[in-house]
Amino acid sequence: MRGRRSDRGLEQILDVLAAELLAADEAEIADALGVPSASHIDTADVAALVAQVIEAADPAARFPTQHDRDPTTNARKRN
Amino acid sequence: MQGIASRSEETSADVAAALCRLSAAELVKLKALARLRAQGLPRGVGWTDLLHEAVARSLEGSRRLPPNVQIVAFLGGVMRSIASEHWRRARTEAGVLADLDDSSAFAAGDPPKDPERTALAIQALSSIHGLFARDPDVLKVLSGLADELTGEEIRQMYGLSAQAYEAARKRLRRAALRWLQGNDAP
Repeated sequence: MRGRRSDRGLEQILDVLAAELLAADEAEIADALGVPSASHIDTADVAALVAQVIEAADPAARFPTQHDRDPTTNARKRN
Repeated sequence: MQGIASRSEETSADVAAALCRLSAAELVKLKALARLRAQGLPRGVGWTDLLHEAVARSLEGSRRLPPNVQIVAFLGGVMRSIASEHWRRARTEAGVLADLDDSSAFAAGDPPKDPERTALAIQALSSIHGLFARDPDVLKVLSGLADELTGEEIRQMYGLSAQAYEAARKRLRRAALRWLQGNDAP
């Protein structure tokens, strides 16, 4: 890996890692991050960013909160 | 014209609907892809910039979501393209002169050398290498996949059993996920 020409080499490595990330399933993600399920992962920052762009494009639009996406998880957290 | 506008609106609505359906796992992947594509970018450009721009372009309809392509994969491709654009822009703004004499570093058709890009790419590659430095099998698999070798070719080249290859690939994926969620510093 060190012998690769830097910029092109980086692109190739990033492409491989991107493909691996896309191939990861929910259980694998949860396992890698040490949580019981993916819904336990804090996605607030990325969700807020996506919501901001959607709502800027269409003020009437409403991006679902984490609660909307997984009410059972939130109920569990509340309990 | 109306047809084009209408198709564009439909595309934007499709993208917005797909974004609103993103699961927690897909949001994790989206962030990981954004952080990945931010590696080696000009200073001051971060993962949030890439993701913001990718979502905005998709909603504007300047990037259309092809049928049967998942939204996360689509946005990953858009971010890849935006990352390349950042470098093209940085090169233009800086007025970098190509070192055309250094033909050894580039194959025919490659872009001219950009010292800043090269330095940042070396830094990013070094970070990624450091992430897997204690796992030689993962480095072999990563290197082989980057060279577009098949799994069988990688196994033969490095003398890996099918089991060792699969296990290394799984470790590669897990380490990348942890790193790109910020749990492991490279």
